[in-house]
Amino acid sequence: MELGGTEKRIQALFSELSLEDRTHVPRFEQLCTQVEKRRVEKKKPAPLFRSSWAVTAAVIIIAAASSLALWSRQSQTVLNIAPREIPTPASPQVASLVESTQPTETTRPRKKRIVRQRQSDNVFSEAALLSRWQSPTQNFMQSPSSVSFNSLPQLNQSAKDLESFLPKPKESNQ
Amino acid sequence: MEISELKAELEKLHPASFGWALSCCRRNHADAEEVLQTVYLKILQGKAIYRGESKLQTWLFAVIRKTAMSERRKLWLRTLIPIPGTTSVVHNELESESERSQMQQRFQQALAQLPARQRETLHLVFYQDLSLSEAAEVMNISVGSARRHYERGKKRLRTELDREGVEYGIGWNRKENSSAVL
Repeated sequence: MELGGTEKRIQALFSELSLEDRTHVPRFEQLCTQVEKRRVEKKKPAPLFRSSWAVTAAVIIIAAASSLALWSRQSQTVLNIAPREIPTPASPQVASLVESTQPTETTRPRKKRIVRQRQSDNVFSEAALLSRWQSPTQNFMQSPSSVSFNSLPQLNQSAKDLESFLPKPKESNQ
Repeated sequence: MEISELKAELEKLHPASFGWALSCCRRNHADAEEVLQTVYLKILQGKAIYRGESKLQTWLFAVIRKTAMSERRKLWLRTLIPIPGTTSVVHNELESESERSQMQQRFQQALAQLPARQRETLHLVFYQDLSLSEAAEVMNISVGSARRHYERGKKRLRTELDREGVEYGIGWNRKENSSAVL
């Protein structure tokens, strides 16, 4: 490598610097022993029990326990409400169902459950009342000719038989 | 390479490695020693493995450079969170500064003014006697970039030294032949 003027000067300054640095170079053996020390320190097993680990484990356990308790409570409330068929207004089971559910229900201390049960009871009683309901004008709808209205002549009936369905001419008109 | 063999090679390169570590640690002796210790530990633990793809010296210098950079990052973090017992290093540095000749002090001041890449290139070429391609390998850059840093570094160092008034033998202003270094 051929060097120019500036390079030669820079090289001279650098070589002087390197000479100065060589006086401060730490002994290789000394460095190696320090390295070995560090190596041994790093090899030491970490303590098994650390406070931070204990705290983390405790937090995890508490969180798990609380979530389990919450889940079990929720599942209990779901199980207590038995699935029931919504009765049709005409079904005769409604009254009996209402009667059967009302006395067997045990009183629960929790507010929510009581409110839910009351609501469901109200629904059943209302359904039973509706099934029993009759219109007040239903009597007026019934007439002596209701039998003939309710029965229709058949196509293969004879003409005489069909005449019976026709209104009879009044004698006063003749 | 066997560990004992590697150790022997490291011992041979130890003074040069220390000089390079000093340059990477901005001439801080304690930091350079710490970096060198970490590098040797890495090598002996097998964290840094020499695969023979390049010269051992260039590989070792690259490891030193990387380690110094990571140590500098750690130091920067430590300055954000002050830890007691870090002021003693500065005191030692001041002591060693007084020992240096005035010209060397000026030269080092001028060198400190250079950007890191330029300073590193100049150090590897002039101090460690490496070629530009080897310097590029150590710095993990292309040869072209290394050459650019080298040329700019030389130019800037010359102006800095002119400003500082450093003269070494012949005057700085003489015309010169800038030959290729490769």
